[in-house]
Amino acid sequence: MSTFPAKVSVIIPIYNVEKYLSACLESCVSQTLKDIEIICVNDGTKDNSQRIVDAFAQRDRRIISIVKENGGLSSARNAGLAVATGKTIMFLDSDDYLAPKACERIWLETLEAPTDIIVFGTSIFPDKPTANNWMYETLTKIRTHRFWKFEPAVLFSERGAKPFVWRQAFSKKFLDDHKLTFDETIKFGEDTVFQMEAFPHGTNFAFIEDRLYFYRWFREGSLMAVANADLDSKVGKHIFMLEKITEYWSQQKWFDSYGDWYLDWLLDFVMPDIQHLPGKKAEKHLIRLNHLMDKYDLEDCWQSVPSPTREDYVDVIHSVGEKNSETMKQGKEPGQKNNQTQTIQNDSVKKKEMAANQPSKK
Amino acid sequence: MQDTKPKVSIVLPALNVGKYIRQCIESVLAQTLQDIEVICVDAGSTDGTLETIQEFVQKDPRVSLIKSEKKSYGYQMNIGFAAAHGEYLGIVETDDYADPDMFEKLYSRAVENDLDVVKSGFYFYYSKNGEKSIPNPIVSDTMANFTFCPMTYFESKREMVEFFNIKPTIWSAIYKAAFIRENNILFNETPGASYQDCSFNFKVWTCAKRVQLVQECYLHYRQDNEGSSVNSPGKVYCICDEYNEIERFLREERPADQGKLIPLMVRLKFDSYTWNYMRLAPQQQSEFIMRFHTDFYRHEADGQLQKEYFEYYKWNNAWEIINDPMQYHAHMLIARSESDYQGGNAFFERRINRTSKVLKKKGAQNSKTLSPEEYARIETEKRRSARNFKINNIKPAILRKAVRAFYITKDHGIKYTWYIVKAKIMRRTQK
Repeated sequence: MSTFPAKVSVIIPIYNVEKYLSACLESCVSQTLKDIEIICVNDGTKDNSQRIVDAFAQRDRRIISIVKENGGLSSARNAGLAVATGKTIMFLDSDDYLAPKACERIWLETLEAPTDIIVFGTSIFPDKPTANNWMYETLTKIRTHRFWKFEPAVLFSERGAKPFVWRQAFSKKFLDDHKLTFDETIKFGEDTVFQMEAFPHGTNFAFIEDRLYFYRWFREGSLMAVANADLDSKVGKHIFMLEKITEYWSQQKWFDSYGDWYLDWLLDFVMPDIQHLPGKKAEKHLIRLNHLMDKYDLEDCWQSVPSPTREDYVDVIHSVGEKNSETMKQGKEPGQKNNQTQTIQNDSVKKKEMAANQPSKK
Repeated sequence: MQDTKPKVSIVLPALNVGKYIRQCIESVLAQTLQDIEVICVDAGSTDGTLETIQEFVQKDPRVSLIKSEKKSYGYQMNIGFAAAHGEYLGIVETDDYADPDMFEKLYSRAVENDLDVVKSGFYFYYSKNGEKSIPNPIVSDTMANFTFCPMTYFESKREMVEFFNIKPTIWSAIYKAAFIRENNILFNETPGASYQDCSFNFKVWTCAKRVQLVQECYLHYRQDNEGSSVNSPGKVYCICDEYNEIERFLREERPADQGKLIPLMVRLKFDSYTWNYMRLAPQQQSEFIMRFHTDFYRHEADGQLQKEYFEYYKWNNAWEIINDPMQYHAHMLIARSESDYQGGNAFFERRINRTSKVLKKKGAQNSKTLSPEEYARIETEKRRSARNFKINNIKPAILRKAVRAFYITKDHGIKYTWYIVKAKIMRRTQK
């Protein structure tokens, strides 16, 4: 029998969150929209979370409980996606909670016009320690706006576009049509990869300024906090994400149309962090980036004149990359090549980079 | 007349369905639930329907026949229900047929949970070009198989509208007889078969305290009967009678809940009127739109038109009908004549495509060969062309498309543009 979809499916990946889970589930159960399904995916949790889910499931028939072995956030979300039947899919993290009217508001938005992706505003809690400015701006200050086709602005310049999958709702049909799932090999930043892969497929985007989601921005031992502690490994993970995204984009042939924006985004995404790393570590990452840029001819994506900063970024990447590849070929010391390249090009950032490399040369 | 109460009384309203009646009655008599009563109400058929029914009356003691003096679906149903002895009441229309386990399943569920109404899914049934039944569950998993009261369960007004908008398939359900009688729920006795299910459905949902919906489908709803009421374009004002009846019912029977129910009724009325308007021929449309206007003008004046029940674009349309029905009609005619419309906002897409084509011609191609001067020139051109977008410069044909885009896109952002367009049209016509 063909099934009749519920209006909204909320997917909750659960892993060691017994402290926060009750509030999260309570907010789902007490939604003003009744025709929703709440999918709890127990990702091999080691605490009492499952008992809380079971208690709620007994109380409310709309809760669907899935228990699986630990496989990370992405695999938990995928497991939820596989069983979800709702017309619209929402993701809720188990230490956050929804505003009472969240599902209703999202459902109403889908009634107004066809919608592939909805992005909604977020409240940040707890108040102390205070969230940083970037977080506050990107999460809370969204404008209500609709896009009727994909434009690079949707992905790159709209304030609501910064990737947090839990403040985005997707049409189930849209996800199915393009076979969009989370990449399970990525343990960190799967949001970004998912968004970069999903958005260019979309045609109808709705941004809602209403704050429908309460985001616990700070929690000791949370995935974000741990991952951001070490800049070097963070950059490494970012570049790994970029490799995934770039591969997908080149498969979809999106560089022809949006490559310009993409390259700018890519550079702004990793380069500021790399600049803060000491020379040796930076070099390692720059070589990887250079390889990525050469492999997909990313530099050709620039349709218009790039900003000087970004041009500098590219020069730095290339100079380090070329230096490295030539030393590999000729078996020379890296320092010998440096003097030549330095005479050919001279711009500020590159000089800075060279300066950073000086100690290693000796 | 039987001494003991049958479990379910099934009413079969019949009028000239000679081709289908046999299949229908046979399917009802073959029910696995044997303790039933079948009441055929014939409204003066002339094509052998009556004879077929009489044949079954003689064969099976559970079948009885009532002849109705009025050719009215509502009247037929009312006398059928009045004559019923069963604990629960069911309806099977005589061009449809039921699966054998329908009434057993529905009845057992109803008794188990002490329900006022159980409603199941149904099949769309096509008999021409190869027989086929397409299942149509009416609700999702999360709404099915549990008891609720429609008037109190929904917190969201729009979700309640959605629930009331479930297709009024009154014949895929069974109703507790006592519930129907206590609440004085009757069909509207307008002549012929003219959407009497609409008011009945509304009354049932507003009065019921314990309801269950079921996803399983049992009844096969015939889609290709030319004589069916759905296929008759003639009746212009039938739908108005139904809503008048609902209003009367709310005023007389449910005075306490009027404040909550009438805005809901107005919202449903808007959908039904729009649907009715769309299905009429153009001449009838211009006649009906004035009725549409007067009704909603009255509701607005009485404060019964409430925004939280409406989609944004429907709300806009409602106001246009209240303010200027003929203009609404004109716009709908334009929209209708545009047979090629693709949905989305073709108008704006086309504009963007045109701009990019112009730019391509001017050679914004290869990034490597593009000098900064050229780049600057193209950028200014882009901005200038965006700024030059003024209503006065647009050809009438495109203006029409803009109007259409307004209805299709239903965009909040376009609202402003729309008012400019509207003002310009007014100014042009005045000249």
